[in-house]
Order: sequence, then C-alpha cells, then structure tokens
Amino acid sequence: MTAEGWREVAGARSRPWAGTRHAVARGGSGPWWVALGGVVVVVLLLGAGAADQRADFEQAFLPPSAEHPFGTDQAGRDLLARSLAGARVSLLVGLVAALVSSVVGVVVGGLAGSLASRAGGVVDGVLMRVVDAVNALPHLVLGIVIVALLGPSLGSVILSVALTHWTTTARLVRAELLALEGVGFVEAAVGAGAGRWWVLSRHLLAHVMGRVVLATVLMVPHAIMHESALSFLGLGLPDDQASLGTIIEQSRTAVLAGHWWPAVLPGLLLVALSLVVFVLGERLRPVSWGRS
Amino acid sequence: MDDRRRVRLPTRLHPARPPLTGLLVGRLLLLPVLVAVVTLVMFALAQRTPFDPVLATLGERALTMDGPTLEAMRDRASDTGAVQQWAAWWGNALQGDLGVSSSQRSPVSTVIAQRLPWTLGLMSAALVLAVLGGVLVGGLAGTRPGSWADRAVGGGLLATQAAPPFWVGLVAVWVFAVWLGWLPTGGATSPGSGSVEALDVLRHAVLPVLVLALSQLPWFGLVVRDATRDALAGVPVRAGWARGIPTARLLRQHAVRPALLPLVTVLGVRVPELITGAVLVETVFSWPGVASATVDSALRLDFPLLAALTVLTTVLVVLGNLAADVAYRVVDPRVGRRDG
Amino acid sequence: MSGHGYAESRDVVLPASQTAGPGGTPDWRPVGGLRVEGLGVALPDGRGGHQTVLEQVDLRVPRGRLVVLLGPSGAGKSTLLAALLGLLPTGSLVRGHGWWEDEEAEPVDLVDPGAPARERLRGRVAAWLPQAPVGALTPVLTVGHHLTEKARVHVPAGQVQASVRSAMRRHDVEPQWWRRLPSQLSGGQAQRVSNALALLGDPGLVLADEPTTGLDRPRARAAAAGLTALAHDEGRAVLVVTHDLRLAEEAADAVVEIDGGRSRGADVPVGEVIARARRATHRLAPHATTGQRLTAPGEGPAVGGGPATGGAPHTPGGGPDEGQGPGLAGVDLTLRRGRGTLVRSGVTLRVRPDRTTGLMAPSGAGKTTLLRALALLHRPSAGQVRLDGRPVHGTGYAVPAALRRRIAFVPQDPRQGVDPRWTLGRSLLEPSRLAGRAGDDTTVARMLDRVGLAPELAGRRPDEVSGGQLQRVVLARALTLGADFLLLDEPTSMVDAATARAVVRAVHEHQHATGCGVLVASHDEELLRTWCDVVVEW
Repeated sequence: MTAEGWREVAGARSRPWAGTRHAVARGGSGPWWVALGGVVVVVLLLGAGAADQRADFEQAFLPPSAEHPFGTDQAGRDLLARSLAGARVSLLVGLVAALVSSVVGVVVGGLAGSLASRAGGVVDGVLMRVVDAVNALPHLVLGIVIVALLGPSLGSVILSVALTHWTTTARLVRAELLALEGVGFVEAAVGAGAGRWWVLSRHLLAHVMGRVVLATVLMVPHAIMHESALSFLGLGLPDDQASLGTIIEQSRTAVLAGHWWPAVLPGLLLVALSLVVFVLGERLRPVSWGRS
Repeated sequence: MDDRRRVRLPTRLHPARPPLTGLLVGRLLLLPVLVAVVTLVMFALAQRTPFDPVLATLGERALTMDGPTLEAMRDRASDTGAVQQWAAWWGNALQGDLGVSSSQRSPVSTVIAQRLPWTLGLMSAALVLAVLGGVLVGGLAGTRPGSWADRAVGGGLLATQAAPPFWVGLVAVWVFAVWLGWLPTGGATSPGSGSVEALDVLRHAVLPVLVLALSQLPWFGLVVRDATRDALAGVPVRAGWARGIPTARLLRQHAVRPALLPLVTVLGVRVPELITGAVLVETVFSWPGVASATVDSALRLDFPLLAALTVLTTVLVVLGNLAADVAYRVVDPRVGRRDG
Repeated sequence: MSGHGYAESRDVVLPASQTAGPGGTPDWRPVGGLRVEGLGVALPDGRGGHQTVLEQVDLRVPRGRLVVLLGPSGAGKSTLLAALLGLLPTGSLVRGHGWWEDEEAEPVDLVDPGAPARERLRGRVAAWLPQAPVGALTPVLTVGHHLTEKARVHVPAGQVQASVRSAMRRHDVEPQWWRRLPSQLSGGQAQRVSNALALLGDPGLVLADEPTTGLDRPRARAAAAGLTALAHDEGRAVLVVTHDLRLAEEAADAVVEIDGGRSRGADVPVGEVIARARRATHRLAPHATTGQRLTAPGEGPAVGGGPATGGAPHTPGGGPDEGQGPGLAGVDLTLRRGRGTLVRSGVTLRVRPDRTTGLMAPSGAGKTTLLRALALLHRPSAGQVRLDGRPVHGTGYAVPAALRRRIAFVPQDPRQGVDPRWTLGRSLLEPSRLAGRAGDDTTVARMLDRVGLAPELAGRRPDEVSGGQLQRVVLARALTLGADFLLLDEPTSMVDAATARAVVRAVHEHQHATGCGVLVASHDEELLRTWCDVVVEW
C-alpha cells in the first residue's frame, strides 16, 4: 500500500483559492523586462527623434503614411520625430523630478525616522505634520499654483513635480526606519553593543536604499503624468521644448476638425512610456526587497 | 512575533479607543491653520511674480476704483509685506468678500457659487460609476486569481491608469462627438438654449462623467482585486469551504464582501485624485465648473480666484480625509480597538 | 483495538469527562470511523520542488473515540488535517488514503475522493475546529450570518431556524451574540461559535487543531472535556492534533505520536506513549551530570537543587530582597504591550548566575514582553531592571554598550534574527567585531560546531538554510557575546526534536563553561521541569 507513488489530489487546482499563491509569487521574467525597459529608456534619452522638425505648412495634417508614420501636425512637422523628442523631454523631466523628490524625501524621512524616539519625537512630529499638510493639497492644483507663481519653464515644472511628490518617499523611509528598529537583527546588534552609526551604516542603509530606488523608479510615471498634465493645461513647457503633453494640447483643435492622429498617436506613446517604466519598477520590486 | 499577535484577541473588548469626537475636533482645528499657512505661502511667492495681489487685498472695492487710484495702491502695496497683504485678504474673506476675479469679471464668491454645483455633480456621478465599475471588475478578477480574466483585467486596469484623462477625453471627443456625432463636444448646455434643460445637460454630461469615472476606476478596481485575493487566500475562505458553503456564495460573501471594507474606507482619500481628474476633464470638455476655473485663473494671472479656489480644494481634501477616517471607524469595528 | 483503547483511557481521563460510565449503555453504536493508511504529503517548496512533510502516517479513529496525534510544532500535524479536509496548498502531492467508513455507505477516501465526491462531502463528513477560531471566521459577517449560512447548506429550508437554535443551545452560544462580528467576540466566545458552526449538520468526524493554544489550565481542561463529550456522548470520531502532553493525558482514548513525518504508537496504551514522550523530553536535559553546580557562588539557600516549582522567592510579587543579590532581576515590573494594553503588573523575577531558571506560561501570557524588558529592549511602565543589585535605566542605545553585552536575548522566531542580506558567517562575527576582537573562518567554524552545524553554513544566507539551522545560528551568535545572562524565548517551539536537543546541549555546555545565568521561557512544562533548576509558573 505504501508502494504507491505520489499523486496530486484531484480537483486541488480548482479550489477557490488555488491561484492566490501563484498570482502573488510571479515575476520569473524579471530580467527580461528590466533589460527591455532599460533599453527603451536609454534609447529615448540618447536622442532618438532628434531628426528633422522643420515646419512646412503645405504638409499640414497629413494622415499617417509610410513617410510620416504618425502623420504631420498643424505646422506640417513630422509627428513621429516630434513625439519622440517630446517623449525624451517627458522622460527627462520625470527622471529629474523623481530624483529630486526622492532626495528631499530621504532627507525628511530619514530625519523623522531616526529622531522619532529622541527628544520626545518633536522633530518627527513637526516633519510629519508638514508631510500631512503637503498631502492635504491635490497635487495637480498645488502644481498649477507653483508653476503659475514661478512662471512656466523647465525648472518650475520640475520643481512643481518634485515639491508635490516627495512625501511618499519621506513616509516610506520613516516607516522603514521605525519598523527596522524593532527587528531581531537590529536588536541583536544593539544588544551586542552597536551604536547608532554602526546600525545605520551596516544594516539600515542597505535595507532602506533598496526601497528608495524602487520608489524613485515607480515615481517616474507619476512625474511624467504630472508634467504632461501641466503641459496640457498650458502651464508647462514652451513650444520649442515640447513634451508629449504640449503636443497633445496643440492637437485639441485638430481633433475637432476630425484629424485624430495628432492626439491619438502621441498619447499612445505617452501611455506606453509610463507603462514601460512602471513595469520596469514592478519587476525591480523583488530585487529591491533583498533576500529577505 | 506570532506570540504578540495572538494575544490581542482577548483584549479587544476593552479598547483604549480614542473617541471619535476627539478626532473630529482635532482635524477641524487643524484645518484653519493649514489653510492659513497655504495662503500665506501663496502671498509670499506672489511677491516676485507677475501676479497682482493688490487686487486680492482690495476685495470688491477694486470694481469701483479707477486706474490712478489702483496705481497708487500698488505703489503702497509694494512697500507692505506679504504678511500685511495676507492679513488684509483674510480680513475681507472672513466678511464674505473674496475679491474680484479678473479673468471672470465678477466677484470671486459669485464665480464659485455658480460653478461649484457643476463640479460637484460631475465628481459625484463619476465617483459612483467608478466605484461600481471597480467593484465589478475587481471582484471578477480577484475571485479568479491567475486566470485569463484576472490577467486581462489587471493589464487593462494598469493601461487605463497609465492613460492620462485629458488624452482619453480627447479620444472620446473624436470618436463620439466628431466621428460618430452622437454627443456634443463640450460645454454643459447647448449654445442656443437660454435655460438649463435636464436632458440637454445629461447629453453633455455623458462624456465628461464617463471619462472621469474611467480615470478613477483602475485604482478602485485594483484595490478590490487585491483585497479580494487576500481574503481568498485567508483561513476564513478555507474554513467556509470546509463547511460546505457553495462556491459562488463563498466567493461573494467571504472574499468580495470583506474586500469592500478597504474600498469604503479609502473613498475619502481619493478626493485629491478626483480633483486632479476633474481639472483635466473640465478643461477638455469646457465644463463650467470650478476646476477649469482654477486653470483659467492660473493662466490669466487671476490671483484672487486662484487663492480662493486653493483654499476651497484644501478644505475639500481635508474633509475627504476626515470622512475616510470616520468611515474607517464606523464601518470596521476592529479599528481603534486594537493596541499596538 | 477500539475496545482496548477505550479501556486504557479509564485510567487517565478525568472524572469530569466521564459521562458514560463503564456499565452504562451509550445511545450510539461504535461502527465506522476514520482509517488513515500510509498517508504521505509533500508540500511545494516554492522553488518548483517538493518538501516531504509526512512520510507514512497510519492511524485509526473509531466513532466514539478521541485520538490524540502528538508531535512538536512543525511535525506536519496541521498538514495531516489539511489533507483530510482537502485544504492542502495547490501543487501538493499525496500518497496513501484516509478512509472514512460509515455504517451503511461505501468507504470514501477523504484525502482524494475525486472532485465531484469532494463537492458532496465537504461540510458533511468532517468538522474542522481550527487553531485560532476568531481568525477562521469571516471578519465582516455576523455570528448569525455564519450560522444561518451553514444551516441553509445542510438542512432543508424549513428547519434552518430550528437547527441553528439547537446548535446554539448545545454549544452555549448566547443569543445576544447573534449580531456580533467575530472581532467583537472574546477568545472563548469565538471558540463556542466556531464549535457550533463546525458541528451544525452533524458531521461524524471532528478534526481539532491545537485546541488548548493560549488557554490557561482550567480553560484548557474545559476544552478537553468538551472534545471528550463529542466522542463519548455523541459518538463522533474525534482526532485532536497537539503538542500538549497534558491534553493527551487527560482526554485521549489513544495517542499516536508523529515525528520525522512518521506515526508511531497507534496500538500502544496511552499511558505508555505519554511516558515515552516524557522520557524523550527528559533526555533533552542532561541533568544527571550537573550535581556539582548546586554549590555555585550566589546560591540562595531557599532554592533547592533539581526540578522544583515556583520556589517562594521567585513567585511574582516576591520579597523586596529579590533585586539585591547577584544576577539579573526584574523588580515589581509593570509590563504593557504596544500602545498600552496591560500584560502584567507586579512581576518580580531573578535570573541567578550559573542557574537555569524556567518561566512557564501559556502562549500569549506575556513571556516575550518580560524577556524583552529584562534584555533592556522594552521599557517597563513601572518597576526596575537590576543587574547585580544596581538598577539599569533606559533601553536600547541609552544603556552603556558594556552593560548591554552582559545580557544576550534569543528571540523565538529566528527568521528576522539575522540580517537577510548578510552571510551567516558575517552575522556570527558581528558581536566579536563590535567588541573589537578579530575573527576569521576558523572562529566561525568553531562557533557553528558548538551548536552542531557544519562550517559550510558560514557562506550561506538566511534564506538558504532551514528554520532549525537558523535558530542554532542565532543561538551561536548569542553565545559568542560571552554574556553573563542568556535569555531564551521558546527556544524549542519552532524546531524538530533533534534541533531542540542540539539547542539544549549547546546552552548547557556553554553554561558549564562560563557559569552564566540562563532564563528559559516556554509553555512546554516537560521541557522546563527537566531542564531548569527552578521553574516559575505564571
């Protein structure tokens, strides 16, 4: 009777919860996605689409063709070249803004987290109230106010995005630091006589930085969205630095005249760009969580 | 770890629960402070910009002043600091005088009174649709983890989330208004008609409401999907299955229903995103609400309107957060009864 | 065989649970029951392979009998129940059978009845009494909802109300709980609701998972009596899996041991199995060789050598002199957990040098909180921690490093005990580095050897070793600290018998060499009585 071989229970795979384990623990194709996303990002940044963008009003609103895969816009410019250039601007703004906001977030969150148990947590309390206050404003409205007050330019758009997005990182860093304070290996190090600096430099930093890198990557799509929304509202970048948002904004009248391509195709590129960066970040997630 | 978690059970009935009124009072006291700080920062920043805070500090008196007087006021204002201007603005605002909007050519309070209902109507209709749709697709995907339906819904929601609402709006205008010609391209009423007719407004509202709902739906859908999946993986579902509860009922009552709890409690937190969406959708469809007026006021350097609208959105967001906290406590009796 | 098991049980079952006297005729006929034959279960290990949890389990649970399956945590007891209930994780492999035999019907294999038969069987044959009843109820549905829902499945529409009412009466579910959510029930109330729910529809087989977890003695005894009644009075086949020897002793008609995935003792009388289990625990503690330690310095005359319970100076609230002598002492501590739930107040306890003190308490009684307070990791709300009579103030960084090194704490769960990014060798050397001593591979190898681990483990990371190995690594690191006081939190609860022996031996040898004071907190009475010089009972 014991000689029977192993078998799977009939119907075990149709239990209501059968897929939950699988669905959570997927992500085997991580390296491929990371490589693909990385290539897309690098190619865009290195200046694909730096091609010809001259205006030629006789060529205005040509529908997509072999010569102009995205068609042409109201000034007869090739929309593919213009969209790629716009995507580069969007990506650049997104990256820089995400980076700036992460730096702000790490500084604020790090201060709050490491001072939470000292001096009655006054510093922590004040910093977290500031985070609450910034979060209490809709990001786009705050962004509009900042750009409106500083005047539209690349700098103010980046600042507007960075100033509204750092709170996520700050909260993350603080929460991580506080959570790690009671974790076994930190307590063991403290018990063995380690000082704050030892614990911070040898244990905490590596743990927190993984999460921060991930949060920064995942913030890029947000920042791109934010920038394109500002540009679409006319509060973003000037025409010579057109981002995808600017291009879509300029297509509004064309759409009413039935020219769909100046709006639809650059928009699809924007969606694809956000998705690629987002998926890239999601695939990085297991890596950033370390071997825990 | 496990040890600590398990012990909570018997202690739950004796809560160290901060009272609801305390929470309400605390937040409502914080609100004026927050609004005051935000406006102060705005006045400080406006000092170095093309904006004209003088119009804001004068209030509705600006309507009756002639050019030279205004110039004189401006000279004097450049000597006074942002703090004085801010104080003057608040002095007027507390008496109901929010100043005059230069872009709309009427008092700010009138602008808001006329436009706020349009925005609130748009937002609430979209919110209801987004929640219903989110529960539907999220529950569908969450109860079939790993299936093709789950993957399709997951991918679709991510793509929808990645699509900016203004672009979706433009595509919708092209398809339904320009190409098919079924619906109007924008506005809230037809240009010819002087009065507001319900059917006409409904026709105009279809696209804006749907686009705004679509922009909010992915988030609700993903929350419900993940929460459903979590519930499905938990012991109660297994216990229910072992008790012989029929599968359909098990999924509905023991997996999707627990997942609605987090949804209800996070509704209020979504107010900022809803406002962001409304700003973009109102702009695309020329919807006469306050959100598009925010953009107008920023573009046309209309400081009084921008300041008032910023205060308005801040208040809305804080109230939304408060509603979320209250809902959290009312809906989920476990919250606030636990320690640690 | 069933008659034999029943007769044996007469000696050990408490009088309280004896309702059907030896001469009385029960109103059920002991026909049918559960027959597990050659059952093996291999669970997916998450990397595409399988880990065999159960090799070969054979046991019989006739109707009208209560059988206890005895084994340490992690021995696969819950997996056995999951296999019988059809609740194994997706991708698990099984072999063997779990036949359910009923008077009139064909025997069915509960392990693998086929999908359509499973659909008919679930909820009708086996009642599952899960370990934590609150966690097994759906949090957003009321007690009433749970009960009517199950009744609708198993009872004709007209009798739903009546059957729910009778189930509530039988299991002491009070009517005012009808509208409550699971979170609004106390542990005991949830237990009763869970029982009523599981037994609605009259299933013949009852599967109870660790029914005494977190209960104090009187409540554990009541739970045992309830389970006995299900078997003896109602004629069900009751299978209880537990590591609680007392529960087995009090309630079992037969005991089956499980270790290393194999069952033993199905046909051996209860008393013998329990005696053997006792002896196995005794072997853990090498007390026979330690008589000379009784003369160690600092020994109070009030405390005798050898196992003893609750020596007067050690009981909570003991005399004020407790904090004075040499040793690590908590004096009149008030302990709170998290944001303020009171765990216990007036706790006084001293860990003496070169003595092993046992702290016995059920899970969840606050052992961990007390140990963390003594380890200067948790601030007590009141009272003092004293080191050799002098009070120590503050926790964590606030305590001078030299003082911190005198106390080593080994937490219950080793998984977070070492930095997941570090190799085990690096983690092992951390205390030496902090103390300014150099260390190399041979040092690490020696440390690993002390706890019975191979030197190759030094290059591995925490996720590449088993829980038992990790537990010993954490212990090895604590031993290197050269601390004067070693505080162990449930050191054997998450490991198999072999690891438990290795842990006890390593601590014992270390104590012999250094004369350090050891405090062992556990719910395992057998372990403490055989290992410790003094046992304090909470």
